[in-house]
Amino acid sequence: MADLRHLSPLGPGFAALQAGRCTLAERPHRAKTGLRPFRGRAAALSEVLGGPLPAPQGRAETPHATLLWSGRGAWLALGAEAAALAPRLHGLAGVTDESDAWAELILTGPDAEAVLARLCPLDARSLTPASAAPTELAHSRALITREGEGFGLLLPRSSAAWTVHEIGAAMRSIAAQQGLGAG
Amino acid sequence: MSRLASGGLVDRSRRLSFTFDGRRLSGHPGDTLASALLANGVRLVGRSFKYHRPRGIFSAGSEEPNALMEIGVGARRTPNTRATRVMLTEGLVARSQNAWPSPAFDLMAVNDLAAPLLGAGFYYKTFMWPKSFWERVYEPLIRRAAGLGRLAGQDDPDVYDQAFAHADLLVIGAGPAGLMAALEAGEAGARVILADEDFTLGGRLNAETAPLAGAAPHAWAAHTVARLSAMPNVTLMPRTTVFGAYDGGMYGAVQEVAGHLAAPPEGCPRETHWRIRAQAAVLCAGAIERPVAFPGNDRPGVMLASALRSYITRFGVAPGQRVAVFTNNDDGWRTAQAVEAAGLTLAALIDSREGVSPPTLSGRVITGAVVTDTAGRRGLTGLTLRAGSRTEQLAVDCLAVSGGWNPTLHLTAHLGGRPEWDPGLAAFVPSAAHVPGLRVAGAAAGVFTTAGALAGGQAAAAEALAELGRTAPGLPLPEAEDMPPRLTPLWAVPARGRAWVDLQNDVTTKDIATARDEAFGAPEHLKRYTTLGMATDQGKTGNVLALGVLGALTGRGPEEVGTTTFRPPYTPVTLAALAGRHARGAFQPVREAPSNALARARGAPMIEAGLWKRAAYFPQAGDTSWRDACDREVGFVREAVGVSDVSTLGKIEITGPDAAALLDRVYTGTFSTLAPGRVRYGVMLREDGFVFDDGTTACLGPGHYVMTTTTANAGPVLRHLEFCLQVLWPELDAVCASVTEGWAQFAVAGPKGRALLERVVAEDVSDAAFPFMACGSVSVAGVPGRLFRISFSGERAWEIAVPSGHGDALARLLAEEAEALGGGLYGMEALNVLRIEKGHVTGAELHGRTTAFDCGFAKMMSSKKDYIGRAGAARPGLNGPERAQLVGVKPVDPGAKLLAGAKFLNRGAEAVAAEEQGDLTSVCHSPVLGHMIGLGFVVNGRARRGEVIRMVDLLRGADIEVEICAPHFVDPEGERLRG
Repeated sequence: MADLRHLSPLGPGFAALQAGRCTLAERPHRAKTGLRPFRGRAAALSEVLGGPLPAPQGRAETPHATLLWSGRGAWLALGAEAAALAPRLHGLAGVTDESDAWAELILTGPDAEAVLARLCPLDARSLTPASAAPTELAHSRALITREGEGFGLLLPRSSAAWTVHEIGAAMRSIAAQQGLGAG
Repeated sequence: MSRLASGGLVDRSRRLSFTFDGRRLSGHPGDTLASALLANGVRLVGRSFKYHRPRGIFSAGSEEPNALMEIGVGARRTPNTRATRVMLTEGLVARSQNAWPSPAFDLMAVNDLAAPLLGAGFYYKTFMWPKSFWERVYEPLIRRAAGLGRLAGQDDPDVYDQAFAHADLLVIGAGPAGLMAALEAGEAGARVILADEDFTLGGRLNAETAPLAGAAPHAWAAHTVARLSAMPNVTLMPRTTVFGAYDGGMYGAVQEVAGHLAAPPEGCPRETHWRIRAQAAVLCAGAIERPVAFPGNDRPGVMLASALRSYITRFGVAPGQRVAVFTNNDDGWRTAQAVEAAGLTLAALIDSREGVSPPTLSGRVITGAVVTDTAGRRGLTGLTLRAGSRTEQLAVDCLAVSGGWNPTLHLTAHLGGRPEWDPGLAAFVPSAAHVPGLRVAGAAAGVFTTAGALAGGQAAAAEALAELGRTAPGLPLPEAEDMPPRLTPLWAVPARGRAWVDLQNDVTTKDIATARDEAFGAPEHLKRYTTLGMATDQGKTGNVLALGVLGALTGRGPEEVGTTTFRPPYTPVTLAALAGRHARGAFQPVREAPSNALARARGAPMIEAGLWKRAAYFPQAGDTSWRDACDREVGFVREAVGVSDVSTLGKIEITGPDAAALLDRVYTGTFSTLAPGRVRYGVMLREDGFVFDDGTTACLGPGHYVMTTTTANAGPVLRHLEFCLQVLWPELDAVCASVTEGWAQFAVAGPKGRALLERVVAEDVSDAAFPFMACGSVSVAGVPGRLFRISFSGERAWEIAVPSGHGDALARLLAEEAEALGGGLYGMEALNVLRIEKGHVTGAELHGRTTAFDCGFAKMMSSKKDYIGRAGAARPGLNGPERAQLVGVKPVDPGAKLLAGAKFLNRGAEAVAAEEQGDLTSVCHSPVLGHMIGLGFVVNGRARRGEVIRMVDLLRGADIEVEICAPHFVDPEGERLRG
């Protein structure tokens, strides 16, 4: 029986986008697990995870995963495998394997904030290393984090290619406008 | 030439060449197109809308009603652009509008002779007879004569951008009030955005000469702008018009980026639409001068007095050599002084007021006088004035008119604020409460002195800073003029002849009187009856004047008359800018199903299902039409094995101790009895008893379910479940998660389906191990996946799911295996044929107006439990023979075409709504049966099988006989399903 090749949401061989002083690169694929604790089970869930669940719009690091708040009563654990977690979370939470449901990208460069402003209504200044912001990006959804001076973007898989194209257009727009100079 | 020997802020060391109506002209950097035209002695720039009267440049700002040009060539040609707002650039191409063959000689000026027929509301009174002529003759003629500029008629090659910005303080307008506000807030460390529609910041400081901080006002403006540019917390946005105030501190703005360039760099937007979220804002948009209405006040050469000052002082241009000034207020005197300071001849300063003392001038000063007429068809040559009983004529080539100032308060009214009349100023000023978070300063607030504007801007910023928790630095205010101008209202000069109020739409004082006489005297009626204020200048120079005229006619002041309201945008905004990048193919996000790369490689056309792209069919060499492919794919499924991508259907995982209870409450059927490893079909109703969605729910383990929904309802069903859990039953302990993105899912259907499955699934998939409606975790080509034995096609079928990252690979593997078995991929067209043949309903039937009873689901409605919609569905009128019920139909003539959307009528019935028996919702050609079949709803349909009725479509001209039958055309007993 043949092996089923695993593809990134952006297709095979996605090369980082570069325009002006900005780069958009795909992060290496890693496991992602959706966690939704049952009533009154958040504390027990935290114990299994080895760290408290972050507050709304928050991000927390635990020994085995990065936890991002992703919505009401929902968290996304980056770097944690659903199959490994599920047995320990039986009766505590709904567990979904979201490893393939998201494209993970990182936007860096001095113009990253200006590019994000073309796409997202969120105030980039409000994003700290402890932030996880589910928001709108180019008329689609995104979960945005701060990565150093740049931004981490989690995009739903099925529209990731389209969204990446839109980010590229915004990057080129910023770069082209800088070429205009003052005035 | 009319360029002054010296003066102005233009860069005289460089020349820019441009063309106007084909003539090569030149100007300087810092010119607008209007100032450059005036510098070249061009006074006639177009023709008015209705009467095609010659028009000249009237103002120096965005309130310009006359100088509308087409700018650019080819696909980038843009009509209705105000020359007063166009930054002059090298190679600019401009053309006048609404004049043929030229502004100097316009054939349509014949309209002016017909003026008595074209007064206010003419299209309600004239061109009425004969009645048949309206649609055939008059309307097309009027339509062709209407409109000003022409669209390019080609695809717009420019790109447009959109962006969001955030600020502690948004300052709208960079005149003295705005610059001071920005400075005060900037020095306090606040995040400031200063926006101005002009390319040179400074507002009227660039057009006045009264000293500011002991020097020319423009010097202080330039120095302040430099100071602000150096502050990292201040963002300057020139060429940016804040066009609207919206809820929640949001402001809309459009920034001109590359429109002025003949060839913008690749990817560079022409304009950017900004949405600015500001904690606080200050409106420092200044004021717009209003004219006086007097006979002949529309000739080229008649302009606003402050505009004349702007052309002299900012641009170093003389719009005329022999100038008269007509004013009712002190500000007009400044124009007279500017005329003489520039070395031009002041023919006369004509002040309508008695007992005032204008300053000493070389030219004549006449008080208590009014202008009663002008002369000069294509350009002003003279005027007639009247002082008491004496009349006199003067030769002039420019008449500067000042009737007072109107604060630019439009944004304060965008959220329902109503301006108030200030009788002392004879102007409307912003009311106290208008837009939350927005303050007003300077002339926009009715403070008409420079000192007052500086102080007001600083005070507004200080108040905003206090609210933001910051300390205002209290910067020292520069010394500036502080002479409040006095005014005596004069709206219209009593004299014979047409006096213009709206220059663009050709509305005169006579039209206002006519409207009042015909009982359209309320401002909202007046506006629409006369079209005053409805041109592209939105009545900026005419509206208040019109209210004054109306008030004078009715013996009331403007405060009693009231005013029309203001809505965004402040100045016209291109639709392309509002669309930004989301135009054409990028209009909305595109969602790709996992097998789409393979489908496209096979040449499959893609159709849209909501935001998803799905393969329609898979063409092969030799196909003559899509039907060949569709029929072939139906054959795969009915005779061998077909594979289709069903990943787009919604998938929701529901877990928790009360998951089963939730399912029982949202579905009509019982799911708490569903055992692990089993799947059940479910119907979901709305509260009112109508069908919301249908799908299957699988039990993967105790308290663990996966629900599928239709593609279109994936989001709505999830929202519905969340509403149930958060609002209706917060006591239920269950959670829902959308997993549509995470799974690639394929239908494998047909008699050879099991043979295919055995080649990719590790586990035993025999009937014994995996009967109909079973489900479970399986290993698919080495990858952990899920298998569901369910069928939409009516054949023996499964749906096989793997994590979406493996979807493309699985699709290729399944296609290969299917083809080896004599089958292949099938697309949406074949999928639709298969399900119609089996009588399975989709969104075409579940469109929100059908009940479970209508669709034949009555047996699925449990009598043992309550569920959403149960009570609603039991209401009288929703059950019984009066309902249109799901049936199948086939044409009596097998060669006839069925049309989805057609209506059913009984034989012999009149084709009217009262006789309607139902409608046809889905049709297809069935390759199995060899003719068209359809699903639809017919009144009492289930009892009428075998009856012949008519299918009627009046729009497409069809009226054929059809036979009502059961909705299951192929394998009605469902034998093939269970194997």
